[in-house]
Amino acid sequence: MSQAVYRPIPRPSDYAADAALPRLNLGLRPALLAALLGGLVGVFLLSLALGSVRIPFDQVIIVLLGGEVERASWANIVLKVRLPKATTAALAGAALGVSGLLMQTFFRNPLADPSVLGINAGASLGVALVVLSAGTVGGALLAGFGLAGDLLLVGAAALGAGAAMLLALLVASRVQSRMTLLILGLMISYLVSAVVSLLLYFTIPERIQAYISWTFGTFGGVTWEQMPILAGSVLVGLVIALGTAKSLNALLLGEGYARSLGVNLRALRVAIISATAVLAGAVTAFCGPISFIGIAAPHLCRSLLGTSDHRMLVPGTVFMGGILALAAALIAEVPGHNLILPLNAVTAIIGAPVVIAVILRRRNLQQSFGV
Amino acid sequence: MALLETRELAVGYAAPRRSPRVVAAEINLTLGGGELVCLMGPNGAGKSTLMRTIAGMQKPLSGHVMLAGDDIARLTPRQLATHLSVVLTERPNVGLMNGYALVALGRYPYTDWTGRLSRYDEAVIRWAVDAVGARDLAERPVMELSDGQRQKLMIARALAQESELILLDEPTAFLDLPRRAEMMALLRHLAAETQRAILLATHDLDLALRSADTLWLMSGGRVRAGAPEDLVISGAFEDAFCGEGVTFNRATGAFSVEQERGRAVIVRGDGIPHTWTRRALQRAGFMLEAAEKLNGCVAIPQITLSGDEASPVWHLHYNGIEVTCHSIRDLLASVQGLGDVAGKLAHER
Repeated sequence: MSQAVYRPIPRPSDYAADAALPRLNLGLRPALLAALLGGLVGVFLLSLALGSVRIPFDQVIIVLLGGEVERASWANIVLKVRLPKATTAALAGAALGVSGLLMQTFFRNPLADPSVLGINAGASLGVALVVLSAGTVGGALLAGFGLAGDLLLVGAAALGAGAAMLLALLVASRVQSRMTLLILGLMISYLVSAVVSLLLYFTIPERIQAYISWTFGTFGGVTWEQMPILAGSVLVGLVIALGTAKSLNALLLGEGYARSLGVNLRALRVAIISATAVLAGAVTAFCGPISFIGIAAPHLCRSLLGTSDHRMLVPGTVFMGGILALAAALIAEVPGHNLILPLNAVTAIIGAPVVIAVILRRRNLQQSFGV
Repeated sequence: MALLETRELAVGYAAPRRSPRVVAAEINLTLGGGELVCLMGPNGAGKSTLMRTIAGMQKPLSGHVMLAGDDIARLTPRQLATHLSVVLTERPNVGLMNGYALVALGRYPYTDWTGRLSRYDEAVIRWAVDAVGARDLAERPVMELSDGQRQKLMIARALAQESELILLDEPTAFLDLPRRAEMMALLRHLAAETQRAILLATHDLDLALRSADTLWLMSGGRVRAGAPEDLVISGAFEDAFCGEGVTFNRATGAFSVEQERGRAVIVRGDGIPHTWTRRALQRAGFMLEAAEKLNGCVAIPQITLSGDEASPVWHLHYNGIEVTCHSIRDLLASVQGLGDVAGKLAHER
């Protein structure tokens, strides 16, 4: 038996709040967070320089600073094509990464991602209804797939995602069990996929093609006019997520402990679901159902930062998600060629081996999640 | 004034469109600072339900739980957290966190929305970690620690919450025996020296009898409170726990499983080998008789111990036979073998 126990127990008054003491080592490494931010800026600039046309770095910087460049077309390419695309990718990556983190912590499930709430499924149904069943009115609009067609798709996806989000919120505010919510989200996803399958079955091949190309996902569809809507939604979601970071840490102990520490579980649940719904809903509406980033970014982030503290993980996944999305978009463009690969295929083809490599090398991914 | 007081409390589960299932009722208990109370009762008596109700995790069916004079139903979660902390049976896996970070979660009710620790918060965390003797664990990743070490940190986390009342559900459940004793000693010290009230639910009868200032005995929908010894003497313990086939020995304070009255044996000797020989024989179902009962009856096996304490020798006499044994295992085999012989003899007659 240890002798330590029989030593008199110190009193709180023995521990002066002494400013000379070193701060407690909580195992946080802000320097790594800064490095991630640096990486994000680097990939962002890289994605402005690379593409079917290669633009020198210094010229990219000059364009961004509003200066005159050697070729006028470069300014156009950077400002009108690549900058909105890269901004969209960074926002979407950040949003997907953070909503994935929220879902993984909330459900205490390493496989959870934004799609578990059925938001992707809702958006898919909205788009499928417009693309596949638009017989007379929508068909004419979609025939040319002009700007109006794009907007219609965004609107349909947003409506679908919004409906799924409202349903999730409604359930979350009534149902106590997280497991019920998880299973309900899965069931809704299955149900919606089945409806989409039915719609596909009864539709002509041209329309199916249009639907399939939406499911590939893209960061290139957001114009500067639409950007404030996307950026605003993502910002709102990120602010809510950051606000819940302290409570998410308490939630790591389980709901019983979290409540005993003074966490208002009902408010937290509503905050987490709304943040996830806004983040994932906005991204899915504008970019299509982007998979993989939502699941991979939080795991990579935990592993690299070596902490489960959400005050580090939330900003960390913002940066990590942005890096992943930008890198995927960059690779999908196949720099130097006119070929563009489907984004969702790239995220998984490039991303899965990266995650596997990290898991095998660091061996702490599962432990870091703590299951 | 008592720190914790329950007034006509009834606990249980209310279900819509059905009459509520009352687990226990008319609970009137008090708990003061510096007091260590063990809540005991047979499985299913409702210990966890009572603990959850006191912790505010479950609504009482009726009555009130008063904490420092306030009804806990009227406190906000955060206010409640400053008065009451819990250590639950579940062992959460918190992922990548070191000891300090885990204990720092106890400061949740006191920090602002960013969770930033003030100098005072840090001082409390240092104190809590030292109070449970876990300073050497504090900078290690929690996932590398053993159950007992983790449990210490969870208790430190409860201490860091600076609540007057700490509720622990089966805090010793996953610990080996020395670690259990250590944990109980620690909790006693904490209660006495920091004037906190500690309520712990446990099945560990022996430790509870030794450590608790007061025992809350829960069974049959009622809770009886008293000094552990009083409850033993008054027979409340037997009422609470004893069912078919289990008896409580008031003399030793231990439960035993009733067995058919076995063959009588007589053991002579003293010291540690004597004590353990008696235990082994009792376990094997023999009934120990006093030597005076012998009265020349050679039909009762007699065991005499000789040799020194570290290497005793057992001499077994029965019906003129003598067997010498060098271990309790041999002795038991021999004594049981006698039974067969005696049985056979009786049959042949």
